[in-house]
Amino acid sequence: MTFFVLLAMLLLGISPNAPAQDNLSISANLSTDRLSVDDAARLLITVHGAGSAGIAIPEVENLLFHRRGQHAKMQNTNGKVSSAITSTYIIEPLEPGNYTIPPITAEVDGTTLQTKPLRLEVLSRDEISTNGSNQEQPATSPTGLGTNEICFITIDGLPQKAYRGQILPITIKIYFRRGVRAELDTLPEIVGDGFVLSPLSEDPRQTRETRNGKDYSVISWDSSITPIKEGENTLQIGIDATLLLPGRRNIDPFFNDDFFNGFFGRIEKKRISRKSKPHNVAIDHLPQQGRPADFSGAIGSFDFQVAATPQTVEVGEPVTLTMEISGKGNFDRVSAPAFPTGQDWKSYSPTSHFQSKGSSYQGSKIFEQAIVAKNSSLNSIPALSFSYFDPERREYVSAASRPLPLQIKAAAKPQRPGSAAPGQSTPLSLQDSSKEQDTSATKATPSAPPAKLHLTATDFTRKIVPVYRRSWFITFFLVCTATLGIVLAIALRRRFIATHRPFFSRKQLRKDMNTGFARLQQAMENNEEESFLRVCREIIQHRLASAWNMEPSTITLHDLQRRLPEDSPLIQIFSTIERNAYCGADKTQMDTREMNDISTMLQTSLEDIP
Amino acid sequence: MNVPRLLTVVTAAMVWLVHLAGNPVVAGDTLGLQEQLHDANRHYVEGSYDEAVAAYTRLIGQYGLSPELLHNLGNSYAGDKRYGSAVLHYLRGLRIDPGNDALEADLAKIREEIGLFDEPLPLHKRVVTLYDMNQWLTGALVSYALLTLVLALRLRFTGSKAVVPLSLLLTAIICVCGVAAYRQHHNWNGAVIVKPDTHLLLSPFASASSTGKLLQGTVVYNEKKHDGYNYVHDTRGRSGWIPAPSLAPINTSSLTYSRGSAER
Repeated sequence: MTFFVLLAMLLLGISPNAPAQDNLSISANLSTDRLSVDDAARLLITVHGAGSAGIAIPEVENLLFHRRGQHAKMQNTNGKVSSAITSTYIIEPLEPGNYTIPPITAEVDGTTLQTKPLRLEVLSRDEISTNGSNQEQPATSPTGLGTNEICFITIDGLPQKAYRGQILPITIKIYFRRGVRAELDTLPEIVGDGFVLSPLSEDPRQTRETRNGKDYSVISWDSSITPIKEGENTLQIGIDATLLLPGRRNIDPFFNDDFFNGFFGRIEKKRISRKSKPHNVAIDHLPQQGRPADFSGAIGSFDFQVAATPQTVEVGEPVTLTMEISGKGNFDRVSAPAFPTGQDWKSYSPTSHFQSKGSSYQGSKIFEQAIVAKNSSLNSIPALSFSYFDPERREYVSAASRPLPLQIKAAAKPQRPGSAAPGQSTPLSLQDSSKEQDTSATKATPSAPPAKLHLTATDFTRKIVPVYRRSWFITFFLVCTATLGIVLAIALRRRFIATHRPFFSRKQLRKDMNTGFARLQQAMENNEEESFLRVCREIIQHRLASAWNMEPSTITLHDLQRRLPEDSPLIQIFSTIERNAYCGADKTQMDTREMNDISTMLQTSLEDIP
Repeated sequence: MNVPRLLTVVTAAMVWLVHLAGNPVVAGDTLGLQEQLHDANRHYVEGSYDEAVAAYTRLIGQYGLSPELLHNLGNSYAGDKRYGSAVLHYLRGLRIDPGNDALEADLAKIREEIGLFDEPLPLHKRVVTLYDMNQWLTGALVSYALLTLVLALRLRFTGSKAVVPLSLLLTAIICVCGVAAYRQHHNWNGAVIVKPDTHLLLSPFASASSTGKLLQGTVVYNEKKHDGYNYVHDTRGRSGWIPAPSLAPINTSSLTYSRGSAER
């Protein structure tokens, strides 16, 4: 801030030290001279007649001084300029005691100014409680900034009278002054033993409020408390929190400014404990008069409904009875209405679940109970009742259901073999007939254990794991996948060949021709005339079959004569081959040179075939 | 690759794997097992259920999990009226030997005893719950193997008209089994309430309000944990925090039994 004031003064052509030296003065004020060890006091140091000053804060044992800023004020009265600079410090006491803050000095252009010593009394928490100075509301001192003003707690919605066990919805609010950085070390807790607080959410609502013209950040919980002690009880809510205060710096005076403070100031933590204002609540006990026999402690306002499914059963078949109790109240004390058992009915333990409507004291508690009719003459499920205490009406209320119609048929199927009815003993003996044995009772048990007992054990495994983690499953899967891949690859290859048949035919033909000529060469080298001629014939047939789209074995000399030019060497070669093959008398004897000539001629002639 | 040779290799591999699958771990000597099992059964017959439980637990810790031992252990718990643990061990037995009639009958009986009745399910859920995840997955794998075989045979017998409908049928079976296995996967990681008077709590603290009660033997599913409490839900949609010692996972290993903590 000083930086900007100096800048403004320079722009206005005013020297920072323009005011006369004889107008220089200094004053120091504390917001309070008595405070709790958990509180903080504000110290204002004002230097009159100066635009800047080097203020030296003395060290005091167990007192910490946190610089919070500085502001300057200028006045121009009839051309006479006066200025004042005010520095603000927060004093944080560490220990209770009486402190004297020595004179604070300020250096202005070589002139040293001094304040008077200040006295400060710091009280312990106990002293504060005794004196009743720990208030819920913020301190009202116009300059004070105690931690009571920084943080306080309120409880909303608390009645003056209630019953023991009654759920009382409340809203707990923790106020922090806007701009104050703080951390909650604990969730709000009840101070004292007359009430039980419902578990609070770890994600409270956060809002902003203005109280007494000051802005606060508010953390609030909608919760409930339950009185557990009769008589006049005091309710207080307490928290522990840590305030994050800017620490004191000892760096160049140029940076001794709020603007830089935010960047360079270190954070110091101050733990505080806060309690709300005590609230007195008169807790009464529930009246004995008119208390129903089935009252289980439910206090609130409830509705009661009953349903049953199925509505047509055989004797021995279970019917599910659904009992829903909805409304507001202490649902933890709401228990299932008792089902009247006897000769006609067997009932099982009910299960229950709670469907909340935003809080633990508002919603529906649903009980499900299996009941079994023992008698086919029954035609309805008996009426059930649920009793509770209504705190508004200050009386007990019994809500009853109507009997539910039920059609019961005689049992059509016999009981499963081996399933002993509950309560019936099962014979127990040791026999080893088929790896399993029926067990007979050497002593009667109220409810017989299952009848089968294994005398051998097989199929051991170390761990119950899903089959997809077993090695055989993984291997089997991989083998199948690999096989499928190969099968698909083969199929695709076949399809590809079929699609590109001309290309592959030519390729195959070239391959066949090369093989044929290799065999021809072999025959020549071995001087095997017969073999040579046979291979020649095969080569011609194969090549021409490919060109004429015929089967190689069906190609004859006649075909050659019909489809090739008359002077084609192939006709001559094929004719020689035919003659040698079929006319043994005129067989010509060929030597290697002749065979070589024929081979060369054959190769040349076949190249001309399209 | 030569198609007949390919088929031979695939068939041989499948036969080997099926053989492998049919021979799970067998540990320890059979004679010792028989003697110890006889002792454990004697305790059961004499009505000393605590001792029977301890004996069967030792056996499982030593030799491994077996449907018969788990069944006997479940019976011992039932005899001792620890119904939650009885249900737990029947379910563990059924995990190893799905469809075991004796286990299913005793499980149904004990559930009836404690008042746990199944809710009527819609048709598709009834179909899915016909088999457990392992059975559906095995069905899918067998169909997959058959599909591979059919496609491999198609290379050899190109003219067969049965290949396409057969392949489509097998593909459909694989899809059905896969979907059912996926749906059953959720049920695979269940746990059983083994302590009586287990309350669902609003928050993971002993002082928290109860939102309902779960019967022992109820199957629940873990969602999260916090400081000794588990947040669970059951098949009826109820949810809340319960103390961790109140429930035991169905899937386990014999190691937990050798440590003497069969219910964990």
